[in-house]
Amino acid sequence: MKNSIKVERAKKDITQADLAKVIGVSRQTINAIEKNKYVPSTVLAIKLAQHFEVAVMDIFTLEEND
Amino acid sequence: MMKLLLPSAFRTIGLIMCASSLLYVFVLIFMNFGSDGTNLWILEIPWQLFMVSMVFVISARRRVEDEMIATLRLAAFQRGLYLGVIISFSYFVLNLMGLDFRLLKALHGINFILLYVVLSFEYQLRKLNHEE
Repeated sequence: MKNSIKVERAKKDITQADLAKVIGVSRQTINAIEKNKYVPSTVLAIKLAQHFEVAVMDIFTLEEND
Repeated sequence: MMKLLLPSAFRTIGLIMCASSLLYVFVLIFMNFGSDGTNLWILEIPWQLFMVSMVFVISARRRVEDEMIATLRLAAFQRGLYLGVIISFSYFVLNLMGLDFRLLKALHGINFILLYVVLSFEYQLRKLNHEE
């Protein structure tokens, strides 16, 4: 699964640490999600989407092998 | 503030304690200390200290509530469990064969497994720390 968190973050001009603080997770978690090393829970995915004011599927998209 | 400082202090103290006690244990083992069967209690002290320090480190991380950290922690414990089974089984088989490996004897036990769990967990977190 790929995601566009880095792009959304760039649009809002916020750092991983800022985003982590707002969402209530560690900076490593945001980093791991961005690098596709960790698939977030549904709750976290919705929190991220709400923060960026977009739909969850606009941020997270399935790849062919998923 | 204390909520942030306390886990970090726990972890630092724990890591320093476990590194020094482990070093001491291995120095004693490689010097063949206690091979005559006496004074083994001296080896036991740092080993137990090491165990206490591991608990410090693990409890420090337990205080952090984060879903990815929880996943990493669980994965590290799983790997530790596999390693524990492998070490215990090897030790058991070698004992049956009448072989006594001093190092394996030292590794046999919960302390080494805890060390592996903590180090592998810390390593995974460090890896994520340096990527941005």
